[in-house]
Amino acid sequence: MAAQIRVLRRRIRSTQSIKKITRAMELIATSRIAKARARVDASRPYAEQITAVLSELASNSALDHPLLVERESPKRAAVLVVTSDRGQCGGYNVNVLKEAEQLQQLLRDQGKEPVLYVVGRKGLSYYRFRRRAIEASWSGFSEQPNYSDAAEVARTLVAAFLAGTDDEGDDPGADGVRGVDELHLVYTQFKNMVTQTPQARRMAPLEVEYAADTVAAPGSVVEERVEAIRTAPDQPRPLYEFEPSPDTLFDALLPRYIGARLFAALLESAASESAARQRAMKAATDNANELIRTLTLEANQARQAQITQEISEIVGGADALVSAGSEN
Amino acid sequence: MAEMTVELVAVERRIWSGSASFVLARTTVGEIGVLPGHEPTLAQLEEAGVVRVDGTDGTSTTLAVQGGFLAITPDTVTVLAEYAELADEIDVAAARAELERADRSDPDGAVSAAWAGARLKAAGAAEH
Repeated sequence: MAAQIRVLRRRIRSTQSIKKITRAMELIATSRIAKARARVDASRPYAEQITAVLSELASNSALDHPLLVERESPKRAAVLVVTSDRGQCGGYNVNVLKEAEQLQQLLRDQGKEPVLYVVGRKGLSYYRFRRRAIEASWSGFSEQPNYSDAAEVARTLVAAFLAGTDDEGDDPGADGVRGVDELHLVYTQFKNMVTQTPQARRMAPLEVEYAADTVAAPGSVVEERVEAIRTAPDQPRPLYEFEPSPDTLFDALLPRYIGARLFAALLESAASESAARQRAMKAATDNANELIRTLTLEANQARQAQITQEISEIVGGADALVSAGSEN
Repeated sequence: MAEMTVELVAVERRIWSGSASFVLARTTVGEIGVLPGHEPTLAQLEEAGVVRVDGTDGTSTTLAVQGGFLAITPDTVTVLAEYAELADEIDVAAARAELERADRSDPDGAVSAAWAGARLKAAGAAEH
């Protein structure tokens, strides 16, 4: 009996300390959502401006840059999966990975071989456990990504993309790089505090829209597309001077555009991760509270039962003594 | 006095915006000074350089810019940068240490040396 109370009390204490941890994680996640969202907003001016500049360039130069043109027979497609470094965030990683699996299946059906690039330790261990080949991975910044992280990922991806699949089979081609023909991105879009949906996007070749008289709806930063505005005679457009040549500018701008989009995706994923973690930790804290309540109830019942038993033992013992005394 | 709207945006945040009468920057081809009414131009700035903006209120803003582009229309100037720091935000000691530490022989080192040099120049602390 006494052992049961001790066990219950120990469980209550450990549940209480778990609750403190989950509560702290919930609070941290809450503040990180706000920070990540502020950074998404802060990065918007750059994304808008670089899109505008790129649109100008695209309408002024010949659209034959490799990042804009569809390859004739794409063989390999890069899939960049953005996951979190830590767990304790509910279904966040599962949802992203499920979306990534679907995308890879789709690519395989189209006759392309998916090549995995992974951001975040959770995605890395998922694919490692399943013994899937990972081309490259980055981790350690999923909750608070910096632009330098995004730039590094973008550099690798753009290099692989520009190399292209000139190679036969598994041998790297003449350039020594096992390149890809398409770049896809799987990240989690932050819609609001309760809804975050995994999204698959194609980053390259860029989808070029010819906007003659339609005005493109302002989308999320990640979804923005390059518009090549056809020069209609009734709407004169400024004729730009280029320093250096448009093609050189394009070469310099496009990797940065990809970098900016990737950065936006990383930030949105970070916000989503924090939101998912906040929800998971809130549920954990609530569960701990419930558990503490039921355990306290059980412990009290056990304590009362013990007292009752002790009293009856004492009374029984006293009775026995009294009856034994009366016989003498 | 003629003026133009100037925006300096880095990837992570908008650095500065306002109206200005003159912008000085260095592109990969050479130095460019922009007055209001400039012909529309798109230019790539040198990998790490200094941009100066003279505001209409008489103030002058200097900043170090890495991986920048310049978009000019007659009444707006936009500077897009991967990284940018305002002159008075620059940690001169850190930049100087970085400049000394950087190994110019490898490409990454050369970039960080150039960036440290640009920051020192922007802060007005470069050795001449």
